[in-house]
Amino acid sequence: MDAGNFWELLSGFEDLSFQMVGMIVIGLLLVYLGIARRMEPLLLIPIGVGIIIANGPFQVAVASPAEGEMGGFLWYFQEYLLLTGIIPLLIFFGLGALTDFEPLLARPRTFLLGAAAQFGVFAALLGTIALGLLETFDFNLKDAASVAIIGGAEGPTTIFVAAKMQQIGAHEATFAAVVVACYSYMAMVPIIQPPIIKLLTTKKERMIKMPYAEHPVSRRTKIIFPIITTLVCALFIYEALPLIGMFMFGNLLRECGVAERLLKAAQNELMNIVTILLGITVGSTMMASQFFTLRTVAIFVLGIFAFASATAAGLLLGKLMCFLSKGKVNPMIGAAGVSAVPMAARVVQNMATKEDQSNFLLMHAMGPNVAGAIGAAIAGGVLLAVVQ
Amino acid sequence: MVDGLLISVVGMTVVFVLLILIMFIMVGIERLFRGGDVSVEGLDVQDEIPLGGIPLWDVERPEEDIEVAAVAIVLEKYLGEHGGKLGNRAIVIGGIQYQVNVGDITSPPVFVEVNGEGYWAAVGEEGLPFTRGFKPIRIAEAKERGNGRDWRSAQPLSRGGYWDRSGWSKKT
Repeated sequence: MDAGNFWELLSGFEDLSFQMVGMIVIGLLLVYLGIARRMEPLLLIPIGVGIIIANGPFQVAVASPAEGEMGGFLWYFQEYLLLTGIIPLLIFFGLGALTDFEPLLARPRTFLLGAAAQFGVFAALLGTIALGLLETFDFNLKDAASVAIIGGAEGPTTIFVAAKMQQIGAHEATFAAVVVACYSYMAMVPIIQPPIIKLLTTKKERMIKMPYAEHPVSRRTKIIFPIITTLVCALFIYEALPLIGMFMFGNLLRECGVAERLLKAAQNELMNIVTILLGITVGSTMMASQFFTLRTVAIFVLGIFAFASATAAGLLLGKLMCFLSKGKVNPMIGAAGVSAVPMAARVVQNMATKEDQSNFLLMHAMGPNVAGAIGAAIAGGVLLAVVQ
Repeated sequence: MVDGLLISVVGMTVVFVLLILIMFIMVGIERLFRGGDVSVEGLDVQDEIPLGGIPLWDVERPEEDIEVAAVAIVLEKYLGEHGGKLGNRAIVIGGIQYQVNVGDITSPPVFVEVNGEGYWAAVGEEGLPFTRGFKPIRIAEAKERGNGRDWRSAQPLSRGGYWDRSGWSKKT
């Protein structure tokens, strides 16, 4: 027995750096926000734990396999589940099984609001390209596409696009920052959107009531919708097909009414397992050496710019629809087009209730909200197709 | 930068075009499958009218006149609440027209005629009749009116032999 081996127990302290400690503190902060403040706990807790585990001494959990040795378990999660796009696609499948498209199909004009909000994606693309002109940041077009997709406010789409961009030349550090920025801002939608909504709408507009009326969509239409959407995307923007296909597959299970067991598995067991894997794997991509950089700060700034411009674009189209309908459309529902389902729709409802307790806009806002999810996937497909 | 502008213009165009395309396809499909809206002559119910929590659009091509009779009573009740009256009119359900005649729904059992077939309809097995907007009166107010003589039960007593207890409705 070698007494020197006992010192091995304490060698972890030797490897700790200030940056690693900083990352562990960030991880603990996310866990705290999830538990104490209940901010997206299902995501922030696994992400926080992932950060803590990945930034431990010697970073054993994320170490790539050396010759004759196994790599860290999180390295395999990253390589085989995240970068291949398997996790985001399974998440999208589960989301499809949970999403009710009836508010959208009952008021088809809200498709337009979901489309308008995708302006955030392209505004962020231009912003990143402009910043990339500065040598300090060194963003290339693939980095710009990765950052841009934050404007879609859709986690799985962001991961899918950013992972693909990393494979074709985006900087490795961009991926982690983009994913964390996207999920952080999705959790902060109730803080980001209200000031923009107040700035761009008048009190009178915010008080517009849109009477809710039962207008059920036929079951056949609800079944055909996922099939049509998949086919349209397959034909026109095949790069978005994996995302849209899985999203609509989940929705088809929901609407067909004959696959209860599969539906329940998609909505519960599968979704829960994949959420755990997603959170811990995303967290593990946040390495100290890559995170504390100006590039990360820039990505976070561009991320909030993407969210803000997406909200503004949705609102402006909402205002136009309000004008054209002679005041029958509350422009606030345009803000829900940024996706972030169902958080953005809830924000609209809260703001409507603040102005008038009897104003119920939730179902009207859910239309653009789910249209935004489809729009984000299409915008992601455009980026994948065009940016090579 | 030029690349970025080009991608942005193309991207936004593609997003709008595809979503509008899907929108039009779905509107067409929905119209095809809805098979015509439910409408009442002289009353525009093409667009979003809540019907006491019952989605009117769910009612598709009733197979029996008795279902049409039920719809007619609901319509009569709805129109009554909005200052209208169905009375003897033609209604269209799932593209099929029915001639209906609904009697006074405040005086049960209600007589409903669908395409010449008559039905008696009552509410509940116990035959609790419809009540005309019963409004409770404060005890003090009732006393002022005459020692509570104006008080009336919210649920009037059964009308004895006049009431049919055999079920919901019966052909005449």
